[in-house]
Amino acid sequence: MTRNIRPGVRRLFRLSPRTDVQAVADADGELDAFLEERIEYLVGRGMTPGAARAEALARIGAPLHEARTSLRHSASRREARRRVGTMVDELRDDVRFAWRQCMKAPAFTALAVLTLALGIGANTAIFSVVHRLVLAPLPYPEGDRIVMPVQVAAGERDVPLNASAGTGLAAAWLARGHTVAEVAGASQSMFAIRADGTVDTIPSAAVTANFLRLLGVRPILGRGFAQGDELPDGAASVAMISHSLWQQRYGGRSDVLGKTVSVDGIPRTIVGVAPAGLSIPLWRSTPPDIWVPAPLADAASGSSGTMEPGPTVFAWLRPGATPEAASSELQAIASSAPERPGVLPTAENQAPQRFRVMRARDFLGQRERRALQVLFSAVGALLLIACANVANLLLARAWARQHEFAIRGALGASRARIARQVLTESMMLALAGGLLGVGVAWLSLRLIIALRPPALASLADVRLQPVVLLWTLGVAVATGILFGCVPALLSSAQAPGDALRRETRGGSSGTASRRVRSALIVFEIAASLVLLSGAGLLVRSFAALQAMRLGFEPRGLVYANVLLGMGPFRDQKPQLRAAIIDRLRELPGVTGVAFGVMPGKAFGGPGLETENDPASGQRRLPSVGTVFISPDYFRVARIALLKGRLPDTSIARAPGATPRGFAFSPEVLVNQEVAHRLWRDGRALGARVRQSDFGRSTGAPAPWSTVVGVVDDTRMPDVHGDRAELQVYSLVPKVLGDVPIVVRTNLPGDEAAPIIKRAIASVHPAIFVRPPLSGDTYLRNGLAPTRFAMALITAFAILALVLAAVGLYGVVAYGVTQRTREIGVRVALGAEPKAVIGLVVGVGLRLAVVGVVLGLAIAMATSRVLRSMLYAITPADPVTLGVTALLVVAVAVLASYVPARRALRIDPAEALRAD
Amino acid sequence: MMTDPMTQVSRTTSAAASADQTLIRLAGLAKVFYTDEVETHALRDIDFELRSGEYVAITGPSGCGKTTLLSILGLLDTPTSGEYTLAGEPVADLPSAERARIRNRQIGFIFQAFNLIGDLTVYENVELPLTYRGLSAPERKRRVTESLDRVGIGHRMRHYPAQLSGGQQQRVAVARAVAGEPLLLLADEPTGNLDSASGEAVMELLRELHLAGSTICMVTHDPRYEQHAERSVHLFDGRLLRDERPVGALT
Repeated sequence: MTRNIRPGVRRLFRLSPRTDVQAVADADGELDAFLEERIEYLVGRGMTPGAARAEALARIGAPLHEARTSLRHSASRREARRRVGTMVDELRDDVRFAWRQCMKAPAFTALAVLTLALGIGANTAIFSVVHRLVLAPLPYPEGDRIVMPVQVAAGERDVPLNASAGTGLAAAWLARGHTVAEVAGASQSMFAIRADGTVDTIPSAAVTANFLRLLGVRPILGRGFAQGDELPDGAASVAMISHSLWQQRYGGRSDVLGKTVSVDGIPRTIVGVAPAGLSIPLWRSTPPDIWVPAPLADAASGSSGTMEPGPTVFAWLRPGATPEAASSELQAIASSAPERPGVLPTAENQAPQRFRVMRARDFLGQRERRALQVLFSAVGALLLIACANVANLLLARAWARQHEFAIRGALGASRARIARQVLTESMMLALAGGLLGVGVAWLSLRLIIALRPPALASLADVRLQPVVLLWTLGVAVATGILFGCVPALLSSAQAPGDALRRETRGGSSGTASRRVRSALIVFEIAASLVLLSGAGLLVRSFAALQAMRLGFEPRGLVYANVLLGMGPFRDQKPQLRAAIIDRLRELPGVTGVAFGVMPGKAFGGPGLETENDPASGQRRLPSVGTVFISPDYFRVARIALLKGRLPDTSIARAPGATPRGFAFSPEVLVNQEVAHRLWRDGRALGARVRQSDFGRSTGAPAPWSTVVGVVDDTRMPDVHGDRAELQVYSLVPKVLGDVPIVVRTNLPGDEAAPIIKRAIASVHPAIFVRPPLSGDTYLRNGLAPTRFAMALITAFAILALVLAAVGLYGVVAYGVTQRTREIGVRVALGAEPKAVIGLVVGVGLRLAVVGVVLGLAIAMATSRVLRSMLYAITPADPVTLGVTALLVVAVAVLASYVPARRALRIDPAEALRAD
Repeated sequence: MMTDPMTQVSRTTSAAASADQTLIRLAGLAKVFYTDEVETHALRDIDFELRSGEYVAITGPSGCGKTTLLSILGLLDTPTSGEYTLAGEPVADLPSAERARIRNRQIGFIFQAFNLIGDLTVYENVELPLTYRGLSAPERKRRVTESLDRVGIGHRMRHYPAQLSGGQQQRVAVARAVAGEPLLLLADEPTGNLDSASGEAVMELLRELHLAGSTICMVTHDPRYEQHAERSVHLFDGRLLRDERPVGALT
């Protein structure tokens, strides 16, 4: 009807012409009316029609088409302004009304906001972690050029086996490739330093001289490293200290330059101070306090048999080179090289090795990446559950407000207008939930930081950054739309007449609304079951890890690494070792001391080959860990000797038999896994073995050693502990620089560790000891990643279950309210209390069963994502899934029982009278 | 004891009832509703007897206590004081589960608003009280079919209530009430939501049931339908004012 209103009347009453086309038509009409009236007037005054038209056109003051265009633009702009003004007015009205609605039902509002805050807060917290570890760009100029050559698992495209493809390959790539500009290496460690009279062990890094330059980092004081600084032995006498060490130890004084600091016994001159917070890219532990230069091979050698993590090789792509092109080039070079020094083979049969170049920012440990994926999925599911819950609440309220919407519709509100009103309320709830969610996220982050595993030590400084808050805002808005659209659609879909009739005559309780609400609850139950089953799997995996057979006894065992390699001890090592052993044996509570490392840890050592046997030929293992020990080692570590005997310490290696490096002792032991791989017939004892790539550069083979015993496999207490490592146990060489020592004590390991460190240091004031590692800490660290994932997923799963239970309770309770009369009728007809309870609980139970079946299907389909996080349990473990399903059903029954009890209190006479 | 003039009720029927024929006996029954500030005496000192096979109409103006009395008779509500004996057994203070059992086995309800359950078919609605009684499926089927045929709605047993007219819905309600073969049929304004033709049809149905031996207690405020009962009890302000056989009552 309003379409036919004359333009003048429209303008008079400020009625909107609705569309641009209409506005343009109005403008045209106005102009034409003016011309028509003017011509008519002039003709009336005696002018001819032609002259009158010319005169009228002249009055316009511009050519007709220009005047028309100008008028059209003016009309369009006016209408656009009016539309915006109207929209703002309506939005203000909607917001005001929504606010009143929220305040009218404070319990509803509080429940909705709290539910959303939990979902959004958990999401924000995990996003902060993901942002910190994965998404945040590397804080270096041209950080996108920084790549890492990695070896990937055969058959799997993106699963790195190792952070470094090897320095040999990296050097070959740099020499022959066209995509790479420079290569640098970095290795983080714990160095013992002596400075200004105090000895301490601090996080440190050995880096190639070009490392800081390539990062684009300049020291804030002094200079960085030059190529000549990384020369080995003696010449390498410079170091750079961190900003924090400079502040703490040297009071931020500029005269620190030129001072000498003893690093692992080597005196070094401080030449520079690094900028605050400088760390090795992607290294997630504490930033180094001291930086020393080292050649690429040393920085990446990592074969000292100590406990430090492996090295990392970085490369800088040439401008314009892509990681894909670089990957192809690297693979081609690796495949064509006759020998690939430093490359870690993938299997004993020397299967083709695959390499890939990954942007450094894309690189994250597979397990951590998977854990973050799982956690992110978990909080995503939690947020969806929260949305479903609030959508359910809004649906219930929207249904109760049908009469209001009907009246609005009857008064002329369009469907879109009603839907927008409902959406405005949703958005207000979502934004309030987002605001409170920031607080929840802050608390969650504190929890995450407290539980973080050692590998994620850098999470200690994770904060709610602006980009994260922007994410929260986005999530809140998306959430508001998500949970608000269904109630909005259902609210606006009701014909006003139907709703008003229903209001006066009574009628159905909203089948569509009920179905949607039921579907939402089914989804909530299914999602919480998926989360709970994941948590259950991790809990069982954690229990299995704790009960894992390690092959040694970590409790009461302490490992200490004593540095005798450099400095004044070059000729006194055997005597100092003996003195250390004697001093440790004198300590109270100590029951055994031996040379050797903490068992279970794998070291990528050289290959191992057997003597050529006419029956089985020569067999090889590409990489075997070597543990240098004293014969007492197995007793102290409590590793079982399965066959044979301990090596004879009196048999000496013939002079000249070790051309380079540390060869095996004449008699060695192998673990069961090596024995199984090399001698399937079990004839390991008496066989002869040697290092296969020993003395590669000189061409001299390693001397043969005789296997005199087979010991039990040892395992790390982590999820990969089911794979036994390949290990050879050789007597410790007299000249070994690092002296690994294990001590068995009656004291708790954590208490004994500092005592042992002091005792070793007391043997000689110049001895450096790295922080001893107790078996208890070793166990804790091994379990930490699983505990971290387990704790968070379990927390999210419990939260999800509580939300689902609250949602189910809401639906069932609302159903009881809607069915009050029906229940009254049933009671009047003789339904006993158990029948009423059965009726109400049955509703919840049916939804729960459907949700559980759906959840089990989803859990089975998605369980493989958890596979790499589990130990000794399959992702589709029927016991876990069964128990989880029962738990969910039990909670659903409980959530339904509460409204069922309320249904029992329905007075049938009252209920029937209410009609 | 002083007798309130308002309680000078005619007890022509109940006084003559012999003890073994008495189905319901109320003595000094009262019902008080309490709110925070107000005490409402819905029923006061009601003495009333109903013999088996009787058809009694409870009448009176709105708010006089008719429905409250019917609720107490149907064990949907409990009296504040007084005695209520049903088939010789005191039932005033029974626990709710026992009252439910008696309702299910001995009492049939017909409501003004039909009170059929919308999500159940006609068949299922009639079957519902038999299900609570624990009867076997074949027995339930027999009784449901018989009841629906008896009220002339057997051909609609697969329909839902919303697909029926008001008169048909009330017939279903009657079928549900009689399917359990109760001792007593309680009807609360059974024609209140019906047009006159449908109302007459339902009343005719009740008459037929009465003639077949059913004991019926019906609340109505419509004088036309009061005539269908053989006895009329008139309430006013919660007191039993008259208990008489209306002139022209159907017997």
